[in-house]
Amino acid sequence: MTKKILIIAGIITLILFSSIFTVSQTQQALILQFGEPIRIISKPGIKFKIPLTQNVVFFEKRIIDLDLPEQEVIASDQKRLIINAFVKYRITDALKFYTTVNNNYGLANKLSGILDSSLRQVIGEVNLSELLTENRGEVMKQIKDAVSQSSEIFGIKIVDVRIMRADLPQENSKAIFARMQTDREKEAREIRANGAEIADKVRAQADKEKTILLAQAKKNSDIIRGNGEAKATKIYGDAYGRDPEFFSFYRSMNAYKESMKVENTKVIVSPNSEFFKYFESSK
Amino acid sequence: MNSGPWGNWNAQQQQNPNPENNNSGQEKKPDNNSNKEGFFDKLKRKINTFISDNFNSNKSFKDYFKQDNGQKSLFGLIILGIILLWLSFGIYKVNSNENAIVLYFGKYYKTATPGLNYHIPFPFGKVIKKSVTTVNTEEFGFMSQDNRSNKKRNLEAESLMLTGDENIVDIEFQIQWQIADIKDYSFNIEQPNQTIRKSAESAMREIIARTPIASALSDGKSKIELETKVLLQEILDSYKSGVRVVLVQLRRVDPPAQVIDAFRDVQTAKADKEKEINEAQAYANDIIPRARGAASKVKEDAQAYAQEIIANSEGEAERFVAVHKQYSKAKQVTKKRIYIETMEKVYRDMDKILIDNNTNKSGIMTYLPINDFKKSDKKND
Repeated sequence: MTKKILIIAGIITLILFSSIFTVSQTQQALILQFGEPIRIISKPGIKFKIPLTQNVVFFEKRIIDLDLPEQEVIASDQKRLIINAFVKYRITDALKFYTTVNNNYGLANKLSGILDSSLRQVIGEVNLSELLTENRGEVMKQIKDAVSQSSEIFGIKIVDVRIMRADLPQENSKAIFARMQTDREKEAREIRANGAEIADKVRAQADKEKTILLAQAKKNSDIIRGNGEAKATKIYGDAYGRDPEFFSFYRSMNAYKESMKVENTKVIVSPNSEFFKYFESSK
Repeated sequence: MNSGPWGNWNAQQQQNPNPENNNSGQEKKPDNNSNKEGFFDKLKRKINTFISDNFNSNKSFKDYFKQDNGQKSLFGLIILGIILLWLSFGIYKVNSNENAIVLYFGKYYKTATPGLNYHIPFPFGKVIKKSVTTVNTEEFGFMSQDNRSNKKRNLEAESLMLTGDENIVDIEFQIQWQIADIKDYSFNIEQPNQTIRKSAESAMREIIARTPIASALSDGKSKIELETKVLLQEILDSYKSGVRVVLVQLRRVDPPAQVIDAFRDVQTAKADKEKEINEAQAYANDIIPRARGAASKVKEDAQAYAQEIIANSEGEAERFVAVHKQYSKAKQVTKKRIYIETMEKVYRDMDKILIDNNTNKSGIMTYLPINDFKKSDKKND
């Protein structure tokens, strides 16, 4: 008797337990009856269901991340880009979500396709240069809108679409490196030439200054010398002008003394000269 | 037996159940090293022991009933004890660096702040504690020593970024973040760490994509850091992630390895330019003062010359005037005297050859041996 009661009590407990379930704060749930969705549970807490006939499918309620692997996209200026993007979405309608894609993997399949085509479509209409300005945010918003529109049917809300990397393909990178290199070489050359230019200017300026200084000095010196000579000449003139006859004689005498000082000067003289007037006779 | 080191209330509750069961070997183990164990560990072990003691052997349970028929009140006491024990598990401590969220049946109930708190224990409630003061670091483009054990990342792909002027820079940066709101952090994003990483990289790349390379390499760094921080915070806020970005820091911004030499050469060129200019300046600094010196010498020389010739002229003039004064007193004699004195002096040291002008008339041919003159010249040298 007690055994029977125990068994019945056990079964009741079992049924009770299988009818109770909890939905966590991070989850939402869908109750299926014989596989047919009948109820959405979006609030967390303790929940009940009819045992055996109903079962529960849980869905994430937080923002879910989906990565799009690297895609090669062509911008409207025919430049090729390797784009790596990610989508943040949230399941807003568990029923739609369940019926259209069933689970996250199913969604990932469809969503990557949508993201891929939206990327191509939006980026195909802008130039690469536009992605390299503040417009990038605008471009991302356009992609987000496009993705939102096409993914509405899956019962999700696109929270964000962001381009993570937008790089040029390997070959283009090489070209860029080459360009960067030549750019820098150009710059380096210019800088060096600029240095030489300034240096030459400085040198030339210095040389010029030097020449001018010296020339100026020479000029002044000539003027000073000339003035001195003029003054000397005047002094001579004033003095010698008193008796040109005597000056001529006196100056000649001085000149003889000065000019014939040297010992080995040889002279051939005639005894008829005035100096030798008394050489042969005293008359 | 239970008068051991745990003389607290729940241990006392445990003392009452059938003492013969308590003698099992399980009970003895914790006794030996109970001093080292935490309060809750002890409690857990105690419970396990208790449960196994009371329910493992149905027989002894029944025996107990049969034996102590009159002690039903004791059994009630035990049940009460168990309930109290279970309730005591609801006590939890939140450390000063933590916040905690309390869930009942998976549903958010409240956020608990540091201190001693209480919740209805398992299976109804659950507490999740997280440090809110810890600053977490994410590294991009490099891995510091402590993180090296992490899975390998493609560092090059991570660090090469396209700049606004279609150049490529090699960037290493790190961000630091904290949990600002534990509720948002726990309930709004599925993979917080990955979300933060991706958002950070996306933000940095977006900012770099509108910065010219020259600015990124030189004075634009703090601007990039600031803008990235703002943008990243905006992104994370838009996800209601409950994350606060503490710091965005550029560790290294370089041109890519392939072209770094060219960039370095530009730096060298700048130095070369400075050097060239300095050398020229040095040259200028050298020659101009010298030229000034030379100029001044020329001037001084000229002045000296002028002074000299003026002085000379004055002296000579004075001398002439003086002599002339005396000369005018006795013209003939003075002139003669001067002449003779001069000639005396002039002829004194000279080699002289006297030739009479009249000898030609006497028929003797005069022969002048110029060569001998020269020889004697040499001798004298």
